[in-house]
Amino acid sequence: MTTAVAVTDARKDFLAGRSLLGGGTLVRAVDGVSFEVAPGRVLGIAGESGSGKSTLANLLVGLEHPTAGEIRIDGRAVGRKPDAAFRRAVQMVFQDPFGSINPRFTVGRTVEEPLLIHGLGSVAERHARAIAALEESELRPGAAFMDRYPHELSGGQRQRVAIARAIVLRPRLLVADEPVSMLDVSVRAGILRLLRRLVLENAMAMVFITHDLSIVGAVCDELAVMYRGRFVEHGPVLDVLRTPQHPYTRALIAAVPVPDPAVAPAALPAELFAGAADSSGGCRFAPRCAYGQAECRAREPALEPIAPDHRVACLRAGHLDA
Amino acid sequence: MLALGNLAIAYASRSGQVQAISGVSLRLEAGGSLGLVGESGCGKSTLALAALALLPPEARITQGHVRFEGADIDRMPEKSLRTLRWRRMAYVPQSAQNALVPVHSLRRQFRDTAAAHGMRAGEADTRAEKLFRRVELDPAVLDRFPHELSGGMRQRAIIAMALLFGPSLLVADEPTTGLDVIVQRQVVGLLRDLRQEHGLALLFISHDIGVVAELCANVAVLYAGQVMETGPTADVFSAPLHPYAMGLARAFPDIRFPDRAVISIAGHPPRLSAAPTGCPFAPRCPFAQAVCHSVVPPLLEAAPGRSVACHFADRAGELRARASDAALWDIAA
Repeated sequence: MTTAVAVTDARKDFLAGRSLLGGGTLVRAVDGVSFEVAPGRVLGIAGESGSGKSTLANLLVGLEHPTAGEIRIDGRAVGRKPDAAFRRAVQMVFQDPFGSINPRFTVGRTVEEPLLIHGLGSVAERHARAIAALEESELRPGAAFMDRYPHELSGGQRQRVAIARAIVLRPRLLVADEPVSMLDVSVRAGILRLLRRLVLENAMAMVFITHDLSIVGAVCDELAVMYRGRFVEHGPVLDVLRTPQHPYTRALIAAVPVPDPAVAPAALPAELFAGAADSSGGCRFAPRCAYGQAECRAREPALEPIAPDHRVACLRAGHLDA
Repeated sequence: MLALGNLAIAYASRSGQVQAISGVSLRLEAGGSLGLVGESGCGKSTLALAALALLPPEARITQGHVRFEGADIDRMPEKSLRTLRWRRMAYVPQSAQNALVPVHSLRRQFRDTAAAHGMRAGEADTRAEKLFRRVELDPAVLDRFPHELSGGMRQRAIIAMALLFGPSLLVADEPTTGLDVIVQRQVVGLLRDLRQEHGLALLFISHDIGVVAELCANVAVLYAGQVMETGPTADVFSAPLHPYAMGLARAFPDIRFPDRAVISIAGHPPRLSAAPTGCPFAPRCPFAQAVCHSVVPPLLEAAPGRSVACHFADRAGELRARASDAALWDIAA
């Protein structure tokens, strides 16, 4: 199978609390993550703040360089200093459509900018490609948006401009970091459907970073749940959501509010609210886990298959309900 | 206890007057809970500030009244308002970061707040420690600074501070937005328990229908500064009467049904600088008829405690069946 992106055992360490005198503690923001995404496929990466999902996004787009491990885009390894070809092949859509596009640029200039930076096409060609990208992003007619400014647009329209800017270079990989979390609920579904369609039509891969498990079913093929730098569960999105096998995935799903007043909120285990205690040597979720055993604090579980394509990092995987 | 009567609020802006709230009437009983939902710009936060008589200077009440425990607080002098706020009504804002003074310890902030209302430092300390235990924070956290706390801890500290004087009304504006889902569950659970323990009335603003479903007995769906529908939360969410409420309910994903199609409401809310003709939702409504564009539908009682502003409220059952088709909402674009 051809992959648009292949990540092998990626790690990223930071020194936290470092002062002028040196010192500080080593934080493994991303700690041994591997995955592949084929063209036309979407991998969702879900986790809480501090899970490392944003650092992983930064590694994918070349904003950070991995401490160890390898990232390949279309089979080519990403070097220490990403080159122009890499920067063309990987594009990003950010969370905040109010902060990610320049308020002084017209929509046309915003969408043409990547073409200009990469020296692609004549003035007329860039103009035409920008209009096409706007129309693909469902801003129609595209020409009517070219001379408008961001402040004239709604949040959803701005995010569509940001998406048009991201696809105008025909990237192989689109990294979307919480692209709907700042938008009104009423327009989220449209943006998710748009991203899904663009991925299929352009045969690009997408990594979709989110904290919101209720939307991943609408946009992702696969879902990986991240906890303190690692994937703890990874599989087909509906399998993970319907039959979650890691205690952390179960907790995340149970915590999502259900929009039905007749349904009492699911109880969460008290252990979950314990602080993130030291877990050196054992499972990093063990201090907060309601299913933990002595062994869990002694040995770190590897991500292992419990079904074809569905992998879980838990010593009790498959026996949680036993 | 809290009653907004035919309230209209306008903001003065460079491009003229913006009518943020038009003719809103809402009631919140003692110990009750009312959720305000709607898209951004629908007037949720303006109503929250009006309920606390905290509207910014550029906002003006052009019509109606805000009554709290029998007193018209919209025309009360600032001095009397100050004794009401904190003591009788408290506010939990959206961004917990900005609600605390970054350079003071939490203990100092509790004491300062207490002193401003004539409570001594010793009593403030005792109460703060008790409240901290209640919100499941170690009282030792009182001697820490806001930046040393996680988002969830900060929000719990603010809730504790809001309860310092035992208010009867708590106004919370998106208090869980930006929190991780597990922490959000903890804060929502805390608000629900505190409400019962203290008999607090809660005015709760959120875009998250799921959180409102958990916390509020009643809900008002706002659009363009007007109430589209109001009633018991269970009824409004399970059988909405207004097409906008139908759209919102279908736009909100449900984790129990991960592959169910979620809809998008095409278009965006109207600019409030021009006086609306007709129903404000008509341009985005898939069921709009000619009358909707020319005549403003009045908010009428549809059942006891349940009101809706739609010309076709009597056909709501039929509209609901059609509204479940996701394609219908796209076509309206």
